[in-house]
Amino acid sequence: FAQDVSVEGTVTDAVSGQELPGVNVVIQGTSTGTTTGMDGSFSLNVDGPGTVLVFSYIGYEAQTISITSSHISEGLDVELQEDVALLEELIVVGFGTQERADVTGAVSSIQGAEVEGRPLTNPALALQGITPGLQIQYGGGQPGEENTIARIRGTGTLNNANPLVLIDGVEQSLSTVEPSAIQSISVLKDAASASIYGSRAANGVILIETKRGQSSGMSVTYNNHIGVQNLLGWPDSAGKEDWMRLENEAQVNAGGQPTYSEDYIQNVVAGTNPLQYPWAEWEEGVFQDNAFEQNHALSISTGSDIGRIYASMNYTDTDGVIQNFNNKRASLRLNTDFYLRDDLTLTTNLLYRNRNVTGPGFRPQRITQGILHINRNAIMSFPDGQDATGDLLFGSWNPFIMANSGETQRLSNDILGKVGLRYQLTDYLNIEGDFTANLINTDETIFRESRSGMIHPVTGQTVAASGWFGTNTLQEANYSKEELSQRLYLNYDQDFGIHDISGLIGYEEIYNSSEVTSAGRANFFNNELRDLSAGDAGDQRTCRSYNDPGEFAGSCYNNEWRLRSFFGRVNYSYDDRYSVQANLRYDGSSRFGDGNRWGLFPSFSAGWRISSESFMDEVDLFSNLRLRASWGQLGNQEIGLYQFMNIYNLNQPYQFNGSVTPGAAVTSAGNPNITWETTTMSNIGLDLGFADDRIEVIGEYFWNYTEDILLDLPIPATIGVSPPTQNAAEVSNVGWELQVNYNSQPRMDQGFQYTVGVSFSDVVNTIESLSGEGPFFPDKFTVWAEGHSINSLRGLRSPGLYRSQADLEQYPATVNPNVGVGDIIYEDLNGDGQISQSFGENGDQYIMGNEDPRYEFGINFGASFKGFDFSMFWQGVLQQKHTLDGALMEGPNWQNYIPAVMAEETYHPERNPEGTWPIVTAGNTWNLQESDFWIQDTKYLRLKNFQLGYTVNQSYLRNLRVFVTGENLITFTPTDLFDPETPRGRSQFFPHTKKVAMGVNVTF
Amino acid sequence: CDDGLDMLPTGSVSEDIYWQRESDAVTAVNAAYGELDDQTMIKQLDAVTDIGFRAASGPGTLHDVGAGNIDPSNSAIESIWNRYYRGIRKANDVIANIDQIEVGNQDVLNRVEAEARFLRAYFYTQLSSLWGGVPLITEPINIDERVGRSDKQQIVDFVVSELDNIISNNSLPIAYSGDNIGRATIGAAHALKARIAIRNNNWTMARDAAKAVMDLGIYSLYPSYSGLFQYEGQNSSEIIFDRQYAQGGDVYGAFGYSAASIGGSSVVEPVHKLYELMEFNGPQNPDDPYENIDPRWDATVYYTGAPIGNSIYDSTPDSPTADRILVSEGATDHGYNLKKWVDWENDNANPGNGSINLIHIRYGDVLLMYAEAKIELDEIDQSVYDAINAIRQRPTVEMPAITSGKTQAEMREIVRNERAVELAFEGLRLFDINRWGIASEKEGLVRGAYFRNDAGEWYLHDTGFTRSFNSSRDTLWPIPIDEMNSNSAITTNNPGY
Repeated sequence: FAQDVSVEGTVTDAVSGQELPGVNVVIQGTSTGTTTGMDGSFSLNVDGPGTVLVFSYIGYEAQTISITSSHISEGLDVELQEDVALLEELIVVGFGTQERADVTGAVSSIQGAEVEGRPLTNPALALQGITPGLQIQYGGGQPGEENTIARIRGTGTLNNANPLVLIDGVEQSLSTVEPSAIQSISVLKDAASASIYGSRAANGVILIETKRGQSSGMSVTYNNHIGVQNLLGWPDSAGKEDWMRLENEAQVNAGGQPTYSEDYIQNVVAGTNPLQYPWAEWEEGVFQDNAFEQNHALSISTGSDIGRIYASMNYTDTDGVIQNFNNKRASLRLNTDFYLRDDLTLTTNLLYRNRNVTGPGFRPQRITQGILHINRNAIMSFPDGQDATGDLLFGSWNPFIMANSGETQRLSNDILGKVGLRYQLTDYLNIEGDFTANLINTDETIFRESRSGMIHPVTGQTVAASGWFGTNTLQEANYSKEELSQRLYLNYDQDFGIHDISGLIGYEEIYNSSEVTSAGRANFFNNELRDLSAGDAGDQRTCRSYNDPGEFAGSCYNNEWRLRSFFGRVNYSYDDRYSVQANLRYDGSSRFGDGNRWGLFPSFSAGWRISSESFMDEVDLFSNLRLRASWGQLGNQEIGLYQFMNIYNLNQPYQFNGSVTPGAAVTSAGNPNITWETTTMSNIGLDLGFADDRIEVIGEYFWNYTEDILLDLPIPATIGVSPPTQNAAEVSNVGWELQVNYNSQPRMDQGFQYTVGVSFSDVVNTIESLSGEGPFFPDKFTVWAEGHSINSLRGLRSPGLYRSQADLEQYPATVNPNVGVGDIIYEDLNGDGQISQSFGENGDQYIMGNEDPRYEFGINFGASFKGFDFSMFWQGVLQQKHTLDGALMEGPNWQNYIPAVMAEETYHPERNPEGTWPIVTAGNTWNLQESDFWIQDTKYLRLKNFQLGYTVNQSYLRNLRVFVTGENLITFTPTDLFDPETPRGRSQFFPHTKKVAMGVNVTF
Repeated sequence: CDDGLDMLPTGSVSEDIYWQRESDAVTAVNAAYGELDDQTMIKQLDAVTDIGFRAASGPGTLHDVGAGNIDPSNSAIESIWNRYYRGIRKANDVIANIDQIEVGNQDVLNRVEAEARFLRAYFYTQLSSLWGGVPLITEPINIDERVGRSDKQQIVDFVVSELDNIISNNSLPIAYSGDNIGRATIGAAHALKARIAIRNNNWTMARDAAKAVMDLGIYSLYPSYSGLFQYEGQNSSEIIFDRQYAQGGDVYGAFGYSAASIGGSSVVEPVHKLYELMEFNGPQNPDDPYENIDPRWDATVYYTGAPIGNSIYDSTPDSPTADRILVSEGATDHGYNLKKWVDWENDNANPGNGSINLIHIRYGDVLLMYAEAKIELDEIDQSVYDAINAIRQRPTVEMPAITSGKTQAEMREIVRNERAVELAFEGLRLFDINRWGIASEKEGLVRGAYFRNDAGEWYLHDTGFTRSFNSSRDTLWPIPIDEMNSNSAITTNNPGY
């Protein structure tokens, strides 16, 4: 053809009117075309009127326009509609993508854009509340640590219940991916969607895909945020005077002398002569306000007909709310797709990441333990010009010194390389394969300083330094992990009119080896020489730690495992009304012995779009009505290594005459029959759309049953070895999820538009069987018993406090002869006349409830008006209980932390006869027993995130948006004692944080 | 397609290839030594008796046992039970498999087998003393086998016959050199025989076995009583058998059981009863309850006024130090702390890293067993006085000698008192008071240190802590609840549980 007529025009966004660069303009049925320039304009030679042009652009609905002569003469202005129709959203599923409309399993998906704007440095937190059924428990705010526990639809096993997290198909830690690089997150919740991952998928799968280059044009994006974090959920302490008086009260109640004289109290309150009358407010020496954090992300996305590239650089620097903790993370990511031929694409993912987690020589748990357990009548820091000196209580405990001396560094270099090929065999058939290496290398260094020789400023004497501060120690460790994996799979997809068939068969192999070596020395020349060779060669140790081990320091191991898998999937859909899917995975794992090594994991699912049936034509209520159902089985191979063998443990040394000699023994019986844990999942789902799908309702009901859970069934101790692990327990999780989304009517002007999303879910966990054994007591609170949740709590039952002689007569059995009015009543459940700490018939402990969160919900609200955008996300649980543990209830009984509520509520016959907390007595143990008295209601509602942005109307940049945002700023919860997201009522964690940040998003 | 899925551990050895070389036997018996008594049985065990106190740290500790609240779910009792049966399993493993070894020096293999038999005898001695009749397991058993209880006498007979066998085989040397020091010797076998005999009132056997140790001629009392429990006394001529520790291997928080001011948490404390048992070498001073007291008091107890580290111990209610009574969870409850086993000079730089060997049997104990057996046999000759006076007149003790002409009843009192003072906090008191039938003396209010009140008068501090003793029940411990539940062959627990 002679292409002699030129069509010119501009492509803009239908809503904002913004010019769209890089839009593909192609003559239908040919490869001839062009792309729009920076100003959205294009020019293309065509045959003349009647030529059909296709305008397509990522994220927009394609438009087809037949050229008229007026287009040729007057130009053609095209407005593209953003593709908001969720039904056409592509969802990342195992080894591929699927249109959302075709998904028959329970999959939740979010796009990276929903995460991108939040000021997060740990993307695990971005998952919190985004999808019903995914629970993210936040364990504390130490920068650079994962600190989160993810559970999909409850805890399905007594063992490792973590979901499989795959980032670009490779198992990685959730906390390491940069939020700005996330293209999409999919949460695979049921068997139909997850069983393609077979033996690793029983706890659900989280798939994260990183961004790839755009198909044409180029965009450069810079995002940043700068913010400050503050302490969240740390209990308010009693005031100084209340604190001292309550300590005195405890001493007096125990028949002793007051700890603090009136003179001491007055001086402390007045702040006079603090060296003589010291009062250490440890929080001030340990925590910091407005801990700084910043994040910068620069990315380039480009593409042409030879391929596309996404490159990004990311840098994060976060200070902790405990002084001296910091995390710096820098990463470089390069994702490329090269079109080697029309039918052959080379894809590569390259990632280099450097993580540097630093802190003082003590773990945050130790430092917070110090604050909670150590007296305050101590000098926190001597005025001697040196850093971090002060009273060493019991020779070692001074949280200020712990937080301000020594150094811990965990420096990681991570490299991930993935090279893949995709070959289009025919229009319907392609083959894909990749080879991936995931290398992690971490060096850990922990230096603890010596404080011996320190002079007390008042007494002038040497301060006794022992324990941790008696001598300086250096521990070093190296952790290296190498995971090599390869995949090869064949995709088939063919559309026969109203029949659509697709399928997949594939192979995957993963080899993982990890190694830790560690060594340490003590007695360094001084606290500055921190090289292992400067330590005392006579006091060194390998594979063992001096004090607290580090994450790696203090151990040595060398582990390897391999997993080999074959898998397949078939989809069939008829007329978009009926769809069915089947998956099969066959896994072989080195963790199991001969004969039990291979496991088969099938799943089936089906969907029926009722709204597309002719009998629904008359029903206008629904724009979409679809039923889904699935069934399948999944495995869990996370059972440790070599459990099927009887082995001589070579790590049983003994010492003769001052030297260590090797020893070996069978310490644990092997179980040759050990095999996979298997979870059977059933799911029923309902998708509803109203008002052109502007209102969308998704409901799910599920029933998961895990069998063959590995449990160390007890054997008599007289056999002399630890029990072997056996496939002995069964656990069920039954629940439902509901999600409702509403989008207001789209508007072409920049008027007010909003969206609301509400999600709600619940799951009930039950241990169905322990093979008739049990109950088991995995820790001092928890009980595993048939018919109860895995997270059940045991303890004594208490009707409250003894408030009168009548109460003492009504409940005569006590744990201790000292119990009297003001102390906690425990019920003698078995009626044997005494209170005993055994569980069940022989004692008085019962199951007090459990710590499972119930009725979790999330509320998303988003709105835009003119250049402004606003969003907020509330999250919470309607029913949750945690039991208090340790210092916060011990208070002055054991010279521990006194929370404000304790000072207020402690019972005293004259001073506070209405008090709801028990009377304090030095040395008291009887009020500190595990009992339902101390169970705290921890339901909560929390503003997890809000964001207010403004897109500046200007013509220099393609996009310029500024925003302010905050995390965890408002919380409603009944307890004052700890953060409701704390895993247990003991604030011995790195504290949680709230955050305020501001930033810009710029696209060039 | 199983290639590469057969992965063997690189840090341990499968049972198919063990038991081939002499060194396999040696490493296997070494592991059995690792189950010997540790701080719990040496230091804590005395704190459940009349002379000590074990701090409260939650339910299920020896604190409860001390208080008289013993029940089958007590986890401290369970872990002691479990430990002995782990040791028996390891010893049985050696005895059952050592014959498979074809390459090796037969003398070494014989010695290793005798060591394993000795260790097994030691574990059964402790088990039978604490629980009475227990399952007698003499070879490794499978996880589905269940063994019921034997009579106590069967256990005792087994131990004695094993020791006789070891002694008559002569496979154990009289002493070791170099890196074998610390292994079981022929002297240890004789001494253990004396121990199980005396615990079962077999006075003739106790006398003869103790005499056999004395006749070996290689043991003597170490001159420094306090040094005996510090590094200087390790492997000295008084040590017959001990659990050995070493830097780089097993170590323990050496000060952890002791005073708060040196970083300890007062896990165990001596109490007033130990003070009452002390004699005075000279007049008592009404203004100083510790003047002229038996020097072994000083070596055993930190009391107000005694040096501790670089300063002076002060547990009084207005003490400015971390040792003030009840000032913290780590501070003493009753006003005393344990000094025995603390080597401040050597360990203060790194007290988490202590490695003083814990003595299981020493010559001083053998001399007192000899004397006691002879007294009970009413063979009170000069050798009895010599044995007791050797203990009393150790160079650093130098208490007045016992003069001859005492009655059997007087001598019985003297030797019992001597054992209490000499062997305090060495893990023997509980067995002694049980066999003497005086365990109930711990009943009632526990009194601690002497303090002065505002008027300057001395009083005995107490916390109100009282102990009970149920004589029909408490001389034997309960079989742990977990063993009862999982072992269908054990049908009855000890009386009262």
